[in-house]
Amino acid sequence: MKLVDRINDSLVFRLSKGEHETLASTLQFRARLPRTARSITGDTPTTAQLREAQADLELAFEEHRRALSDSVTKLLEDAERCVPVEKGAFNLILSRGDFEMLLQALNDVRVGAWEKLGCPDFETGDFPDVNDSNLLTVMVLQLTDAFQGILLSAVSGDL
Amino acid sequence: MAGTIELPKPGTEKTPEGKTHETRDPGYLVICWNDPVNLMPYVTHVFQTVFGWERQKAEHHMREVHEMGKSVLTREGFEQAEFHVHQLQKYALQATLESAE
Repeated sequence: MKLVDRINDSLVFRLSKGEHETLASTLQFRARLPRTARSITGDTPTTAQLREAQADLELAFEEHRRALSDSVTKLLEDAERCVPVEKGAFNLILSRGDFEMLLQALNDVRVGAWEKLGCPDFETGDFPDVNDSNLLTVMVLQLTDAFQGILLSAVSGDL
Repeated sequence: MAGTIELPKPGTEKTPEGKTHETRDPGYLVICWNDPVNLMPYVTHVFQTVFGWERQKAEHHMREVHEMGKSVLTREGFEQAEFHVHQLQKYALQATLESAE
């Protein structure tokens, strides 16, 4: 997957057939990962305002995840945004909104994979032993790293 | 920018004469906490996108998160702080709002 063009505010990435399938499978892996609750505040919400805000956040987060999943599926199936080119490859044309959506979806998978691995602290060298039961999750984590890196390189210093 | 209404900052309000003075509302802090999973360029990008910051400012806060464990990103009224926490959490950053008291 590489950046091949910029058209107005959109970025065009070329994906081989294998990269396209890998990206789609990586995003679909989200359904097999845990969903940890989010908190609006660092402490237990003590006021009615904060309790309401916590409930709003949980609702908004669930809706967002559902919408994100639908949107990336549509993106990769949309022949106008994921355009077939020669040799089974695709040109993925990302508007600014689609770009952010794909980045969020990949990171959602990344965080889910990390949580499934027991939230290891990479900065201290903590990493689970790789075995048959967690190999796929480890690979998904690495794949999100690679895809995110390519996307972010395309906009580095660009905002 | 034509047609926009400038809202007073938390902890201040405008008098009918248009003067700004201090109030007792301290506002809320939007805080981003360190985590070992989100990539540093990703965090920088999210700060730029959510707050419209220049790269240098976004990187400064990203480094603060990484090195100090957290960074106070903004101080603002409750609704705006809540909105920003939602935006940051959509990107799976560990962001919370705390009373500035």
